[in-house]
Amino acid sequence: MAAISDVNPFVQPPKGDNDFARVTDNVSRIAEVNRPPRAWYIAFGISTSLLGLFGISVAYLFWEGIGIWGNMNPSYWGFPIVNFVFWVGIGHAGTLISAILYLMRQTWRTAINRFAEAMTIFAVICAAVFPGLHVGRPWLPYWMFPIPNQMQMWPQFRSPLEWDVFAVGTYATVSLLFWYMGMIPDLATFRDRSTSPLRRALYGAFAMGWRGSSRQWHRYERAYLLLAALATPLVLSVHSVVSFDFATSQMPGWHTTIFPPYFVAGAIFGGFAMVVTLAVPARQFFGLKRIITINHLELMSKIILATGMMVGYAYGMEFFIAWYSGSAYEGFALLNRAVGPFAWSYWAMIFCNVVTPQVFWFKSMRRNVWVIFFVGVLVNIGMWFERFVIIVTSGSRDFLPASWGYFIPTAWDFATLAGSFGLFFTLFLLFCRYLPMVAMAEVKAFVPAAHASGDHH
Amino acid sequence: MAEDKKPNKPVKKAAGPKQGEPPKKPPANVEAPKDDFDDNIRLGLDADRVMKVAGGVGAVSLVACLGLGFTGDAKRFMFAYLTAYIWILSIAIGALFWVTLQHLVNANWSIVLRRVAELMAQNMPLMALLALPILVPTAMGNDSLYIWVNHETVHADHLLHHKAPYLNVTFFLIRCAIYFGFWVLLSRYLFQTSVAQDQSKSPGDLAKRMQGLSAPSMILLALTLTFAAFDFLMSLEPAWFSTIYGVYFFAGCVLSFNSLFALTLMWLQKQGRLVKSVSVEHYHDIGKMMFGFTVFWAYIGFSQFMLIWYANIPEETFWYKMRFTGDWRTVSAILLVCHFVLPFLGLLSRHIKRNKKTLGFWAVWILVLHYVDIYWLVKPSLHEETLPTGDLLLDVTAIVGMLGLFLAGAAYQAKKVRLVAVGDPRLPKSLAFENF
Repeated sequence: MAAISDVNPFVQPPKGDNDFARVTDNVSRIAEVNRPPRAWYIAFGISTSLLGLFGISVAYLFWEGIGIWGNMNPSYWGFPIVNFVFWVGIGHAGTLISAILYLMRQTWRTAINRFAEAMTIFAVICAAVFPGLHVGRPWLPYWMFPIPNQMQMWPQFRSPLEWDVFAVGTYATVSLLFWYMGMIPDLATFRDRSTSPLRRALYGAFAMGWRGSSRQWHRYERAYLLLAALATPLVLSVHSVVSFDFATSQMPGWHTTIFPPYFVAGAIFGGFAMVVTLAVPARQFFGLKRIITINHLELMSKIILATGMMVGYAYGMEFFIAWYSGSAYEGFALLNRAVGPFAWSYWAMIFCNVVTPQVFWFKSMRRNVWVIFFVGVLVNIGMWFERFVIIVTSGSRDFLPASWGYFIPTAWDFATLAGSFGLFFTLFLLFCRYLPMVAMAEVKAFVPAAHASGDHH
Repeated sequence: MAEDKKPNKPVKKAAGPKQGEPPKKPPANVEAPKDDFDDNIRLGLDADRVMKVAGGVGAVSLVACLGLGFTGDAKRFMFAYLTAYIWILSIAIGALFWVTLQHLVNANWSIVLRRVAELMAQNMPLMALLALPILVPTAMGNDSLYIWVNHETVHADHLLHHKAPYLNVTFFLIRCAIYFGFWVLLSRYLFQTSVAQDQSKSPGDLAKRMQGLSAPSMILLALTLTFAAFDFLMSLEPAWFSTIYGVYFFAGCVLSFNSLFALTLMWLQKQGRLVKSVSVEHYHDIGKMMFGFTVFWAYIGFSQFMLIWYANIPEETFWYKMRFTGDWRTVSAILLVCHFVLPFLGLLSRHIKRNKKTLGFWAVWILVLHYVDIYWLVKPSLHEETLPTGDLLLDVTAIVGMLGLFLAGAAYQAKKVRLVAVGDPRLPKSLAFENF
């Protein structure tokens, strides 16, 4: 940073006569300057490389078949489903921030909601890829959808896997609408500030003729409230349905009634961890520290701590009831997690998800960006391991010891996982470069100047 | 409004509505200390009235219930008593949770309401006392409620034997002592600190202190609530288990508390208290909580049912089988329709939440249905297939008795303090609060 600070537009204070203008300037110039910060190029280079790796992995997968992965009797689900659940979970923070925190009047969310929503969309895209790859017949994914056909072939509506298709599909649709609709006033700002005809045409098209009249604002606020109310149950439903994939079975370690709320809490936990993981560098490199302040990071740290405790509660309940139930299989499944062949993954999960967030009990830690970033990364790792523990540990040792096995991932498993991060970060970096990263219009409603007349709205 | 708080300011003589009275005549109740607050925030004589009426009716009713219990069938009495007890206990826990939560999240909108919830949570010692008719017989080895109390039953049953390290009388009593001890301590601390805040010169520090304590308290509250639900309710069917059970009970606690909370505030305003401070905006928010937790309750209830139904493992399904046979089938259907579908539709509109009459209607409705929910959790263990309509008198006396004592207990506490946390620095924000 220091080397280019003389010419770096991102470290200069935003221009403008008042707070409103300064917010606009601070956010808009990210997309308007000729060159993004050097860190963006470095990150984009890494991300596209990983995306290339993803392309190679998928191409080889389609060529060779899913035998290239470690999925093998008795662990049929392996990495693809671990990754699917992981990415769906990441997507939850965006909707929580834009819908539930909105309904709860948490005005601080305005600084982070836009890119959390963007993150949601990209995470759902990453998630949606994996079931499609996992079925192993890439020419038939439309079979997942109930499309009327002459052969009267229908998906199995009684299967939670099919409910997943609908749950994730609904979620992606509503999140996309929410994200896009919220962006319209800001896209209009970009349009109005654009200096080239191409930008004017593109932003203008996507701004859908927004002029900012009071009638338009009234409609906008109404639509936002309605979408928030509609999206709120989705925050709970999507990961609940994902948890049904496991909990409706009879598999020890999968079949337990706390799974739906436990998965939801875990998803919000992991999602917020990803938000801080992205927010800390983004505010640093794009000069957004005046908008995404340390106070925002502190509040997010608190949410990570709270949801981490909920996840810890669920781990505890699973263990207690596994013993209390008196079911030999259930008891074994949980014991097998803690001391079995995959114990390392279980304790990695406990360490990352339960132990590390405890540093957020201290205010100094909640206000230290390095600590926040580091804990965010660890929680992401922990949440990935949580899905690994659930899927692989239970699957590899079920009722019949004769069919037990050990799951060994292949290099292609890791390549696909790393590649999915490439896909995610590439999309995210493009978003940072070309779209309004912060909801300018919403932030402006809460800057001090908006309350100069002393009203309390 | 009450923007300027001067805590230790001498009483202004002219502020009182009654001019001609000599100041020292009524010693305790009537308009005792004048607050520097532009509203009637002392319960005064009405506290005595509640204590007399609700307390009197409650005590008589509860004695009648106990009398019926001693003369009639012990089992039927115990199950009726437990049902009503859990109903009222869940409201008290809900109140304690609500107060802790407001501190934890540093809420502004609710400050003006906080004291009333604190007063309801103050009933925890009474809750411990009311638990005695359950705890004493159990401690003496009576297995009317919990079959795991009986050593012979336990030895004859492999599962119960397995669970004996947890489900035994000694450990049960120790756990109960921990639950009630923690609840009493927490409610006391939050109440007393909040009252001290009324007069304090540094109310902000006290607010910070309460916020700081609420975080670890919330963890303990979650654990005590969960295990209390396991002990009092789930262990009625000791073979059965469900990891979500604590969350299900929690949903009922918050839902029923918010309903009684709305009704209490309405009653207070009818008596001329809090008229200027509690506005329709506050009711609207309580209504949102009622709506939200109606849905949350259904979500948790559905999750538990659907997963057990789908997996179809006999160790778990028998619990629902009991509730899907005979009369209980009807009760299950009533829960689905009246505990979820109707209040969901009924509370959806903001006009309903902003109208005291309609909100009050749904609050009563939810409280009744919450009782049905507890009834449905407790009674099938004793009464298979048929509803114990013969125990109606037991049920009603138990409900009236406990609710009466609960209200009297809150009024007793209310006598000594203001009904609004006037010292809280966030109070102006709460008074000026508006929904957008």
